[in-house]
Amino acid sequence: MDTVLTWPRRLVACALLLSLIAAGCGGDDTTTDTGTATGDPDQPVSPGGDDESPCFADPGLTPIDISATDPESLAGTELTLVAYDSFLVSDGVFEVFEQDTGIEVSVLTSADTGTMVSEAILTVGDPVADVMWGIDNTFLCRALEAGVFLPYESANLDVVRDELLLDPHHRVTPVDFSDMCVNYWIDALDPPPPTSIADLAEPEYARSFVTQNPESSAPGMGFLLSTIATFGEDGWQDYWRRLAENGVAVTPGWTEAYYGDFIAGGGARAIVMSYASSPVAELIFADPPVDTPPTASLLDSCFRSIEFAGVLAGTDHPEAAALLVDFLLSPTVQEDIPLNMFVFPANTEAALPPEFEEWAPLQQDPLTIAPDVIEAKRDGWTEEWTEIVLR
Amino acid sequence: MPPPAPVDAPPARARRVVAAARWPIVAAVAGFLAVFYLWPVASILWRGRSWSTITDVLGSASSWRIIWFTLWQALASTALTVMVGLPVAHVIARYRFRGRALLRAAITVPFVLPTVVVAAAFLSLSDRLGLDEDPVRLPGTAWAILVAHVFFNVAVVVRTVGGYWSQLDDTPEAAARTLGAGRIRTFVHVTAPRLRPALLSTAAIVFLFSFTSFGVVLILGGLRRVTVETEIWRYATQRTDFETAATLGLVQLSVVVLMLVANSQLQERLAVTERTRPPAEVERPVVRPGERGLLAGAIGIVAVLVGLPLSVLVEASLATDGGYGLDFYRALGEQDQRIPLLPVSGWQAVANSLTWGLLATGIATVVGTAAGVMAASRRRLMGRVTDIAFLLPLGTSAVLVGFGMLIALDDAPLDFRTRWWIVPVAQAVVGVPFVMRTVSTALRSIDTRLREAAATLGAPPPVVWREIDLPIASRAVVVGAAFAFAVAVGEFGATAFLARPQRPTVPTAIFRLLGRPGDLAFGQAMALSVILVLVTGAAVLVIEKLRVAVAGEL
Amino acid sequence: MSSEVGLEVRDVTVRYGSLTAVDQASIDVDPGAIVALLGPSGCGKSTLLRAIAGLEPLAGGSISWMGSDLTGVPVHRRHVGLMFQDHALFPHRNVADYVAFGLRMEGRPRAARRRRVEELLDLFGLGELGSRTIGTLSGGQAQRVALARALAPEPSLLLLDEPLGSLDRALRDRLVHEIREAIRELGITALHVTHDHDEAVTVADALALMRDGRIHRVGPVAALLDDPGDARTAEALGIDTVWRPPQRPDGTLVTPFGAVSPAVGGGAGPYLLLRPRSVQLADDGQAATVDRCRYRGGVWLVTCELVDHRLAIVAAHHERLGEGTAVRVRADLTQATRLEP
Repeated sequence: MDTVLTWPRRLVACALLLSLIAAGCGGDDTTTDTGTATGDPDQPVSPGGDDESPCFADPGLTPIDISATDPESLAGTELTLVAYDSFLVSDGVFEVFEQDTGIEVSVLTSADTGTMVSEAILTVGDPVADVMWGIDNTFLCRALEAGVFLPYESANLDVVRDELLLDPHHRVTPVDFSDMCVNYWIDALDPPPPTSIADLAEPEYARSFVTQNPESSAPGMGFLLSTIATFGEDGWQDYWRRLAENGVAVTPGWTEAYYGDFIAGGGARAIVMSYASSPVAELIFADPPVDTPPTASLLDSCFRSIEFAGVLAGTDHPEAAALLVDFLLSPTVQEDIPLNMFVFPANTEAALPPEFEEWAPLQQDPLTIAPDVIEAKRDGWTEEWTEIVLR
Repeated sequence: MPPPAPVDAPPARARRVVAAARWPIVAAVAGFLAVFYLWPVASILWRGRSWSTITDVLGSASSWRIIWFTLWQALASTALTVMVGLPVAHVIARYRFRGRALLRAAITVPFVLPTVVVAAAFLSLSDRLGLDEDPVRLPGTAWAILVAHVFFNVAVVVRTVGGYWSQLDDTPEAAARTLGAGRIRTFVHVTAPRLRPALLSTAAIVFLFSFTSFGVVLILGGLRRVTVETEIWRYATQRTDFETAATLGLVQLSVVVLMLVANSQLQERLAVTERTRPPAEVERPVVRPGERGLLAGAIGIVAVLVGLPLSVLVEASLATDGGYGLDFYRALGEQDQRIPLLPVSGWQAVANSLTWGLLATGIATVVGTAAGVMAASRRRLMGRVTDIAFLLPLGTSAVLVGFGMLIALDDAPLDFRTRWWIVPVAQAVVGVPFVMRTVSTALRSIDTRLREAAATLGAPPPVVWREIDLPIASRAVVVGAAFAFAVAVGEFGATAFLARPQRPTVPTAIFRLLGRPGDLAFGQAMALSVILVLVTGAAVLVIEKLRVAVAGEL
Repeated sequence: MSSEVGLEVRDVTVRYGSLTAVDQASIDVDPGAIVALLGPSGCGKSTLLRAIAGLEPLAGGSISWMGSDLTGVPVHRRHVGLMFQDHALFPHRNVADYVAFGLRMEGRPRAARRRRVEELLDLFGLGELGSRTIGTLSGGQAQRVALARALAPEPSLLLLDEPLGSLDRALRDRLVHEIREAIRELGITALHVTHDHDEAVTVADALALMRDGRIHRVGPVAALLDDPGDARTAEALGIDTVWRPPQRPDGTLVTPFGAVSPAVGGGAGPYLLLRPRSVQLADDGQAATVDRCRYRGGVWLVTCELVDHRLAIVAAHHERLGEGTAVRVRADLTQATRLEP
């Protein structure tokens, strides 16, 4: 047991050390960080990442190879899939997989993505499940550097959107993506709806916007990253100062923002940080039914969130787990997830539900920041953000 | 005349038989705590051990600010909760009136509501009352935290102090009144000192809950109000910084142990033997104007504190676009096949909650009763160690316990971390202290002469326990069990554990619904919250009926 | 080992930490006898009783019953009935349940239990109260229930720990009588602890006097009353007409009524017990002033202060006299008893 525990711990320590060096600042030092990862503030960092960073460096692991495996031999295997708490697929989806392969799948859910990733890092090499669903690009490098996943190049990768393939070593496989965007309640805005996130700091939107704490909420982190991608590493602080003066509200989570301060739950604010798919959900779950969603997204605010699946290092059934990853990319799963989780499928051949086609136009050029940059700077950014917003 | 005790009954063997019955129970109880709490927590603290982090954290002024604020808000919450709860406890304990059981159940209900729902109700309420506009914005202040803590924990005061109070002989009070003491002076000089054992016991629990409160602080406290608990969560789950989390966990444990040792010392010093009487003999009807006023006051407290936020929930669950109706309740039963909001119907979730809750309650009641007996043991060291050890889980971050289980319970023979029953067991760990404390308080107050009388009448120790201790403690067991049930149904800290989404409970279903945009999602979440309230209230009423049956049979 | 002796307490010592509550106490009780253990509060008599019941561990000595050693036998096997000072009634039971408790412990069948309970309730005049809860009983009823409970399993030895302590005088007098009758009737050996000498004298055949953890005197009631032997015993028995007059070197006690030489009364102690019945108010006596009067057993006991001697003396009289009344007192010294300290 000792050896199992030792190497990952050393890895975590190395990862932390490296990220600190990369961030160029100690814990308490919140003076403006002038890192150089993104040169031009208007030019989002290439989503491909940096091969030199520890995140995407060659892990030196042998990829799982199932070409020589007889699928029949895997029948009867029992796999566990771990996911975040809002994971939901329709009844019978995994039964399709079981009929095809004889492999049984049970799902375990953790809490939010951050908790799930922390748990995976804590149990690296001795995982609670065989496959993880749902680690996103903001947490990706943390897990990769900790050696949480085994490399596996799925046979189904050819149908996956190119821009979603972040890990050159295929330790994780993209399964879905979504855009985290500023939403507004169309009828409630007296001035015309904002057209850019810069507008939110203008007086006519004073006390109208509610977002979330980036340290406890994915869309909150999404919005902070949007502002960093938009205004650059040296410009976002000033924007946030103006936003704070303009009376922005910050809640710990999406629910408190959406159903607390935002109009949807009876609040007074007309603009909320949410998802590009939220208007679709507002349409589908309207009571009584409506023809058009009451909300819309502010398109230039969208930060792209990509979610991945990966085989957890230490699994007893790597081949069966690899088959499950293939299945997660199959149309059975990919066409099921939009209406269950309000995300877009990674598989380009998966048919989108009509509501998505009509009311959730895909952002062609969403904001993004490379995962290794996020990993290196996130703590510094959030500390700086906290200082600004609290002042 | 029956023969005298035979000479050949070797006393040593008799004692050995009793001891043989006792030690396996002690071992089982200690093993339960060791496996499901001590070992996991020790594992995670050991994993995160780092001397430099400890010196960094303890050397930083902001850490001390956080520790101080955590302590301050917990102490203030405890004091407020006791102040608000005592009048209600008094009325429920001493007077007989229509709707008393309902009042007692009503006050228990907040205990099970998910924080996010309560926070929503509070926010909505403060919005309606105009409390969230500057300059009196309540949310985001320490006051909001205190008020919410009173809301959640007042049940602990009312039920545990009330339970103890209801079986206290009222002759000393009568004596004080005849000696010219008014109602208030009687309370201050006679009743309050007699209640001290129960008050201390209750205060310890309320303190622990407030000290480790998570959702309330996170949601109602705003960005500025962080506590040791929220920081542990942030470092452990969002920053993957187990060193800082473990250090803060150590700080948290140290404070908790210090407080508990002080509390236990006080309890020991103030322990008194009380003559107990069946509550029915002590209760009085509400007759005089003063008593009516008292009753009205108690009902008023419950109405404002519990009724108001709950009525907001009810209103929201009924408010459909076309006026008020039961649409959301109906929708819970018929999940859309194409676009389900929940993997199962809302009613199935209720059934799941009840099943899990009863399972956890069963475990907590058995372990808690045994622990209560140990805590009240005349072996003082064992008593105190048991008492403090079983209260520790209430004062430990749920995240650390959950994470600890992941790394500690992963190998045979303790490969438990992904077992289906680990969640009810973890909930039982949190429920045990309630049963233990109510039981040990009751047992300590039993006049030893009752046991002696039974022994001289020929009852061997196990029979003395069955005949004397158990009937008197059974009331306490039921009070504790009701709490254990509420804790389990409310899923305290269960988010830190791995769940099986196929069998969602009501709180997880509510979380899921509230994670969705759309009227239906929000409306159904509110409807499900109301159902949770009603089901819990009904369950608590049933448990109380059980108590009457148990007591009647003896 | 003598079969004559029922309860045999030998050099029993009980300690609470450093405090010695019972210090080498010894007492024998014959089978069927009622012995009162009499002493001031705090003298250790209750502790000794609890030790006999098995509720206190012995630091030394032994206790045996009918020749068999009880020392290590647990409480519930001793088959000793104990009636507590404040009844120690279980609050959660009704009267019948309560009386049946010991029978249930013995495993007697239900019907037998019911019969026995009815019998006892009738014996103590509690027939109607079977279904009442304990809290609704009056003090006297509660006491009778407690006695019925202790007697129900037919213990061979009954221990009573100040069973009447909290009751009023009239009720006590009646209950003392009832207790004695009941014990007599059942032929039970009983040890009755009390600090009330009247109660002790009424209930018991023999007395054991206890002080500071020790038993210093044991004897039949009549003999002890007749000649307490020493001043302490007299005091314990409630005899308060004891003088300490001046003493001549030859041992003669000098009183205003004459001298008492050592030969009189057998004893040679410095104290003189002069019973009220041998003191009269008479015109030819010594001048005295009435200090106080109390009524006892049909006569007035008048305490007077002898004018020239600063000495109090108690005389029996047929009527009450006002405080300060001038009287004359005569005493018959041939009835006086000399007592050791």
